[in-house]
Amino acid sequence: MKQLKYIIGFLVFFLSIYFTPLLAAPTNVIDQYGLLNAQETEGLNQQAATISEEYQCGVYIRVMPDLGGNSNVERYAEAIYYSEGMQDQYDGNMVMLLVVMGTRDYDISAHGDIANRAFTDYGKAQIANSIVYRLADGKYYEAFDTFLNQCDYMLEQEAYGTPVDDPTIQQREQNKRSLFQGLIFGGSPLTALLICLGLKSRNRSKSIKSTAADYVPKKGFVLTNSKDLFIHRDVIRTPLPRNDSSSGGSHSGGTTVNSGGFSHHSGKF
Amino acid sequence: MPTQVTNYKCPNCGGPLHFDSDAQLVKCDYCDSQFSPDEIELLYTKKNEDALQVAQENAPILAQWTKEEARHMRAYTCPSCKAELICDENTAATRCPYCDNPTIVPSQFEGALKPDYIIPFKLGKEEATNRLKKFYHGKPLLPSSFQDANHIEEIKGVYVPFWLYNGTAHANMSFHTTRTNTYITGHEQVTETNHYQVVRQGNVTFKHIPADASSKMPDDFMDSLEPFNYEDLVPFQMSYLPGYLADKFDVSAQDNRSRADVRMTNTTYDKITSTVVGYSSVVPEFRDVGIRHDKVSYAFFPIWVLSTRYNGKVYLFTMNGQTGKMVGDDLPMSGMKFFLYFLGITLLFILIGWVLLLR
Repeated sequence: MKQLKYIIGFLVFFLSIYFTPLLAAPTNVIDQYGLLNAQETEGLNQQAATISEEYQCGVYIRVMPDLGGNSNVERYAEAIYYSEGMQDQYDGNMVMLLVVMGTRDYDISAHGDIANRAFTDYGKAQIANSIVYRLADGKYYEAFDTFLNQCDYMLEQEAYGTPVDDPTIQQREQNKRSLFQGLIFGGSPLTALLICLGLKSRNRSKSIKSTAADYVPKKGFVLTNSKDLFIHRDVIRTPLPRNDSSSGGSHSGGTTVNSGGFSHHSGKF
Repeated sequence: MPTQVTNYKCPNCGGPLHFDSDAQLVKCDYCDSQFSPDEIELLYTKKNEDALQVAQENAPILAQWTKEEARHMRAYTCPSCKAELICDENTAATRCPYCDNPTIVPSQFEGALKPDYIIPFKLGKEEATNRLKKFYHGKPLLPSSFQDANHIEEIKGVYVPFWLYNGTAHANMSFHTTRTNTYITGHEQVTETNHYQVVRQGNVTFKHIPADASSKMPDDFMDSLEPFNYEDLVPFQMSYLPGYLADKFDVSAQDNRSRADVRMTNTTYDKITSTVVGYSSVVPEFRDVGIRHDKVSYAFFPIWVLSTRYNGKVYLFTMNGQTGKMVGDDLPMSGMKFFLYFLGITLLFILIGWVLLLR
């Protein structure tokens, strides 16, 4: 009897350790406003869970009625991250779409190395462009489905080493890479040739002298006249480019991450 | 009667004398007696005067040579073995090929032909040979067989005649210069460029610019052996010559002057230009140099001349007999070594670049 108790106790302990993380894992899609029916929620949940497991980055959708006492939607998203224990999943990597129906705010937030690499400022803006008008039109399931598809694509691109970023930036990076490759394959033989010609020049030791600086005694050089006359001045004024802070403005590439490790793209729908 | 020459012989045993570069004394090859150059000079003053007199009284007879050949040859009788010596018209010191006695031709140093200065040999024949071996080091493209197969065919110490030019160059130059300043104000980047006209005039004095006065010695070799240390420059005495060869000049000071003038002009331009500082750009607009020529001196400088043979080709090397600086003909290059170095360095750079690219 005593032995049986020990066995049961051990089993319970073992199973609790094994299943606790699974039981405690946040649900991928939570709709507290009732925008989705059970079937839609279940479908989106499965899709988000699959993406999360495949790329080891939590993908979450939260629909809330209000800001829950937070000052803005970005603070709310960060609070949800900690309150639901998302930092304990996938090494803290996650991307979340938070929709606050009461204030019609949305926020796409990312946390963690993988997530911040995959969801660049440009990438989050692209996601926003594709879902905001759907949210505004009341096509909520379509918006969430699009969000998950975009997350899947962007995480896939990050896994390939080519995260979605501003094409001009990417083009610049590609050009830099191509230039570097050109330097390696073109510059290497050229450099080798110059070095070898330098080594060859060591076989030559004679030349005609063209100067005689060694034969000027101390104080042998005397400047008798020295004049520096100002003639005129040219002035060129070049306007500096202004920083464009509008949402449709240019991106400088990469991801802007705050001190908490979060990156956000938020707005109204 | 042939022109008389002087054999420098030991006053103790009559053996041949030579100037020893290590001891800076005149030594006897047989009894090792040593004499200062001044002592030998005093001893042989009378003999040289006699030889001069004979030279003035007699013309050389060279019956066996053509008229053109004879014009450039001189015949002497060795005072020791009475052999007939046939030399170039410019030969001033040599060795009798029969009795090996050092032989001086005093008539080559008479009057205007007498050098003003000499730098005695400081380094001997063995040093020249050792330095030649070291000369091959640090030349990775030299064929591996060169050092082994390259044998010294001839090595001789030669006092080469030089003209030493003195003068002052007067320069007048003007430049167009700019100074640029860039700063940001408000929403503008402002670039201000100030333009100046700069005038400089000055004098540069030159002392003892050397130019070799022998057509037999390649100018690029002689230039490349510079610099000579003029602290060792002493008044000329014939007693420094025994044991070495010497030719008097066959290029006049006037004919050689342009080499010194070019060097003076270029150095003057460099010195004047170096005073134009503190500008973003300096463009010469006008330059003019006039040279006032001062006295030209005539000197003998010590040079070791070595010739070697490799693959049927003769290579000439010269060494500064005072400082040991070595200069030679362009050495051969191994095509295979060039290719291997080229390939190796290319692959190395590609590997480094590839690693950096992957990172």
